[in-house]
Amino acid sequence: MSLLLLGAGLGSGETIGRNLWWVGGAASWNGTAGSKWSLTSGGAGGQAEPTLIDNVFFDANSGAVTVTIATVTANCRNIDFTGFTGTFSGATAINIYGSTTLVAGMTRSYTGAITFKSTFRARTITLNGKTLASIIVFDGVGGEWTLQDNFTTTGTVTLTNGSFITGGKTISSSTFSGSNSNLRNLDITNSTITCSGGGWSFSTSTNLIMTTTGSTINVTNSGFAGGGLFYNNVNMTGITGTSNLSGANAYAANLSLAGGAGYGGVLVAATQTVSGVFTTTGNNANSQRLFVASNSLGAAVSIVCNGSAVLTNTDFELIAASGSASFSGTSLGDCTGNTGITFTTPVTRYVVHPGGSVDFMSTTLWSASSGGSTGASSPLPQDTVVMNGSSFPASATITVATAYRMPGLDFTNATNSPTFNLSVGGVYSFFGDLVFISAMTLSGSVSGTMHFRRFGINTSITSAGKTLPGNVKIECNAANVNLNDAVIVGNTITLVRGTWNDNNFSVATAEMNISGSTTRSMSKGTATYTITGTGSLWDATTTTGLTFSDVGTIKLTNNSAASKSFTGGGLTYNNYYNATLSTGIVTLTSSSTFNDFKIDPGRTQQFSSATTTALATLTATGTIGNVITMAGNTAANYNIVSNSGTAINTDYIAITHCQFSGAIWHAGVNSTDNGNNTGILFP
Amino acid sequence: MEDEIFVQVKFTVDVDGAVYRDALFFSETDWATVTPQQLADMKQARVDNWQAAIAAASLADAPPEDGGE
Repeated sequence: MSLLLLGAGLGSGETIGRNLWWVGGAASWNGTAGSKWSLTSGGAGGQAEPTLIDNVFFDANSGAVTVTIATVTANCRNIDFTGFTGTFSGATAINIYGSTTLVAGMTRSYTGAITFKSTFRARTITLNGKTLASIIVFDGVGGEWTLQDNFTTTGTVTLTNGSFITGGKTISSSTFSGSNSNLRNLDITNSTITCSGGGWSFSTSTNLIMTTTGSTINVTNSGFAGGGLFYNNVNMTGITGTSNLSGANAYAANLSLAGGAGYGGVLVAATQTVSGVFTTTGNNANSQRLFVASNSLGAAVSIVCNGSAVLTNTDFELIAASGSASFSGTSLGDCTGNTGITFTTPVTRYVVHPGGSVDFMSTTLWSASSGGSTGASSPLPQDTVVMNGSSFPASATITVATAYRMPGLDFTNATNSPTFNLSVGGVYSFFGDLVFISAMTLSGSVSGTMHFRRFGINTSITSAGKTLPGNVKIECNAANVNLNDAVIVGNTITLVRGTWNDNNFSVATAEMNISGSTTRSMSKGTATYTITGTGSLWDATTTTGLTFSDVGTIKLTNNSAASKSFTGGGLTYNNYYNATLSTGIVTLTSSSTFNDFKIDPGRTQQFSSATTTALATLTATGTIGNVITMAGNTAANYNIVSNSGTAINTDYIAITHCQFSGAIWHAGVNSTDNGNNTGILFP
Repeated sequence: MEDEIFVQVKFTVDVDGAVYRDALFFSETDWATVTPQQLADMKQARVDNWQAAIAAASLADAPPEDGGE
């Protein structure tokens, strides 16, 4: 018989079913109910399995047995283990519609998801020191749960619906989240919450009421998505990777960002306003510095502090600091684009290499004087590095085994042929000019990236014939990257922001990517760009924000059988030269304009269907046994338009699906009409 | 602080049908002693290096993706 209770402390209109005691011994909660459930403690079994309105009890009379939730999701109202000395186990989910009480004398090995689904208030959760290993979800419209003691789970905690009141207790979880638009209330007054896995995740805070008075949130090596709410203390600690700090949050007390034993950083997405102490702490001044930066290289982000700022071993980038606090401290690196921060005065650091292989950030590499004793701190981004005749013994290597933020490097006066090795596949950021020399070795991972990102300050590269080993990314807002000589890039050049200025020097790269939507500029000079790779050789898919000009040649040279694409993006190019070898086909995937369009003998040049390629001249004469093929990438037409009116003369070329106009095209006496062509004169 | 003055020698040659344009840098001291033959040798060395690098890179399949940050 069900009882409808309307009394205080119970939800109005709540239906309560049976009180059921476990008498089933070591068995599964689910499956055949059999004699597992009794209406009295230690009584006779035979009751049906609990439903969402039934309270369940595991007590001394249940025995020291293992009860397992398996296969089928369990449901109950209250679940009470008072007096139970057995084990609660299983990995299948349980939905709890009432309160929960665990006891110290029981064993919990259960790992299934626990969803608190009450739609009524006054639910309590008491763990009595037991820890959970479950995903925890609070999901009951109008429900309310209050902690009676500390709460620990190795899983995530998610507030989906209802009210969660932490009661001043301590909570430990991996992620603590509640990013949705449901009606929900989170009261963490005087509580300490530690998220040691996925961080704090409330990026969508619509319909959320959060009370944080006296609280502390600790996030370990993960992100804090605050949702633009008002917090008390927030500590992001142990940062060794990249952690995101998002939401225009305010802090009644303190915000602390602390690195761990690594080279971590915090990317800030919105204004942070701190009333108390704003602290940034790198683990040390060298290889374990902390990075605090705007999450976009396109704009600075504000940190407002009206209390005090304590800053140590930290590099800042595009941070606009303001408020009554003085943003100063110890070992503060300027990665450009900052305002309101008093950085450490730039110094000169001399390389005095002890021989062998030494990490760039090792103090055994650096001296405050030429040829002097080492042990000085490694250079900050704003410092000057000097390498001279006293810097390197024979067989000396500087290894950059972590993707550091480095100042400019000038090897001009270095002797004894040093090696500079960018040995890992991360992103190496340079905040000054790079000058390599022929009498050195430049090596590194092909998957690494040399990132040029100075804000508002030009950067030059003198490569002296050395191959930049991996990718090159240009992301220097309102500034140029200028070449001082020809450059060979082992992987891809990507232009994201700023200006790539080749100064009319030659460029060789596996791929060139200028696609994107941010403000950027490329003035392609008179020298040839040699594209050596496969795949997307030239990518200008999206040209929004791009200023582009070209007076040189793009030459494709890959000799493999792999397919290649050239995505011109509707831009106007000067000369195109397909000088590939082997059977690899090059496809123009979008409409573009060229001056001369040259195809070497034996090559297959494809055009995506319905595209229009405008050109002034076509240089495409094959040879006996090396006929050029021009075709669509599918059995559909493409357009070639002469924009000069100059007659085109080719030979030894086989053409199909080409719709030509604008001039006379003599295909040549040895050429072949493979069908679906118009406007071409075949013999 | 003393300024260091360098001499930049730009040069352009045709390499396999492409315009190859590069530059060499010399300190004032070195520039004063470099002979025309040495300069020509340095240019040729740079061209040879360029051709070798491109030939090697053109044999390879697609390089790995960007390491990212």
